[in-house]
Amino acid sequence: MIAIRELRFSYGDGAFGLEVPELRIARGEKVAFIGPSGSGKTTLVYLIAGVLTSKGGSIEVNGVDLSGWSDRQLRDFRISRIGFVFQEFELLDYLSVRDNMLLPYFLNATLELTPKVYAQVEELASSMHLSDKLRRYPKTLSQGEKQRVAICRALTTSPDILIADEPTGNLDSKTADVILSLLLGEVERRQATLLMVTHNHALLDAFDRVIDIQAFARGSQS
Amino acid sequence: MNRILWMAWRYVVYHKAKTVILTLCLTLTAVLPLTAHLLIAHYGDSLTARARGTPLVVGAKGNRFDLVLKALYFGSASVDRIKMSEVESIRESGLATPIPLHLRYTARKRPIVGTTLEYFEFRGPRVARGTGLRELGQAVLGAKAAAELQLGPGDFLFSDQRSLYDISKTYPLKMHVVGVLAETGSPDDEAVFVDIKTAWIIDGITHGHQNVAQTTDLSMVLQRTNDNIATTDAIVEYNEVTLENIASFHTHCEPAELPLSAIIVLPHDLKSSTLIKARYNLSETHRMLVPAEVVQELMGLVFKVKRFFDANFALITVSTVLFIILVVLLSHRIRKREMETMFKIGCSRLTVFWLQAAELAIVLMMGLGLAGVLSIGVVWAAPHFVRWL
Repeated sequence: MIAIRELRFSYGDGAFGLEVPELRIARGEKVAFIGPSGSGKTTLVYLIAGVLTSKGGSIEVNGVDLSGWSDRQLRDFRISRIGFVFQEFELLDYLSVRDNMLLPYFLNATLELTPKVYAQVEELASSMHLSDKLRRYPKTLSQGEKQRVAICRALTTSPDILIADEPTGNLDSKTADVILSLLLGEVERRQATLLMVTHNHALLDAFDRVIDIQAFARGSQS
Repeated sequence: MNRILWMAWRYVVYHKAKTVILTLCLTLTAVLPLTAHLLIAHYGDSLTARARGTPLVVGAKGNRFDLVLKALYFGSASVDRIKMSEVESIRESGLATPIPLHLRYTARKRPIVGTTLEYFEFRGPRVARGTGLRELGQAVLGAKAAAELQLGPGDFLFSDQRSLYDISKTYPLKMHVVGVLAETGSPDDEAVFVDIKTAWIIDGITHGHQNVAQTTDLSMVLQRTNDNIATTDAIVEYNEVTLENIASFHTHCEPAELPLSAIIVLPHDLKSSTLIKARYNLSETHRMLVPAEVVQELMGLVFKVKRFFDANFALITVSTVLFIILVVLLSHRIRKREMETMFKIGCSRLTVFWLQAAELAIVLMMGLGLAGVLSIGVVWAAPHFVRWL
């Protein structure tokens, strides 16, 4: 469960800010954040994930207030509790598909790389129809395949919250439907919370709740 | 840390072209000055060792470097001739043992060293195959010369014709190879040793003729009296010494006038050395040199040139370092999003720094490792290379 109270945030010049009086997101809820470009959708999910630090108010995840946490605590929180899916996939070209999926384990020593993890990756790859591509490199994959690898990477650590920032923005509509369906399927199966930033209104029916970020924005980033 | 190292390794392996270019830059930057240093050091050692082992050298007045390089290393520079009378003069002084050297000719580009048996006693090369010099017209080859020319005892070797179109020159001498010296790691390995009298045959000063008293070809005899036989110019001059003609070889000048290139002088003691040097200090036609001093002076010149190269290498090193810094900065810029993604996922900025540092360290280690391997190769090859030089 995510609980936000009196959250305030602004970038350095103060031209843009977010003020969220109260927002509660239940565990397993699928929430879509919509709004025009520069309205603060990504900013809000990054605040929830601890990538950005608020200037006031509180963000609680499962009853724990993130404000006041050290960088290290926030990093450990992100790596173990949150999964990220990005619009541009952000796969590392020099790692194989399998190693990209295992990336969180390479980057943070708090995660232990056990045989169980490898088995989990195999299972995930199978569910995403990537079993035969584990040894390949990202540049040999299609856009849809790349995003499926990115979803696997986000789910490898079995996170409580999955943050998807425009995950279908670089895909054609047919592939976007497939990716969204796979993503929602996995989220439901794992009872994880999905926070998805999107411009695509055609996808909104699949979500439990849609939040227009303009309600919280003060000014514009653009 | 192992995981970061592994990722860094994957990065350098995946970006092969970039890795190879950076590795080669580092390797060359490290190897070039090292190679130059090693070769010059070996070259210096090689030159000075032989120079230190040769107490004094006498030759005609002229370039001192040419004289020492000629007498010790059989270099190609030409030196003015001196006379055999100098050898007798030194011997008669009782101060030193002279070793004459005749170094004017080559055989298949290898220097022909005309000398006496004292040279072999002085330098000490061992005969590995065959025998030493015993008669006129024989040659003993240095180890490298024998190997390269693929010659051994029982084979023949012609002296090189110095001028193909000068018909007044003597014909090349067909020399009988009777022995091959063991390898010494010195210029002796590349030389063709002959007796000093054989060198004079090549010079055309000593020669043999057909025995005209026995000839049946009357067309060559112009006049025959009881005490003299006059012949035509067509009389055959031998260019090979054989058992049949060896007795006919003779010289048309005084022994004291016979030419030499240089004389190695072995003083009996320090006092003799000082006295004999004093004698030559007064000479207007000859000079006596201490090879070690001349070579030291020569090495001084070499080291001056080396300092110039060192400065060049320093500039190359600076430019390579700047180039690598540029590559790292550009790479950092290109990979900013990658680094940002890692941070968002949960990686510390310090880990991201270590990842890039590890990539650079791997390239550095590869470059320096390759430089090390090449340096070992240079250390191994340096003596051979210096000998080749």
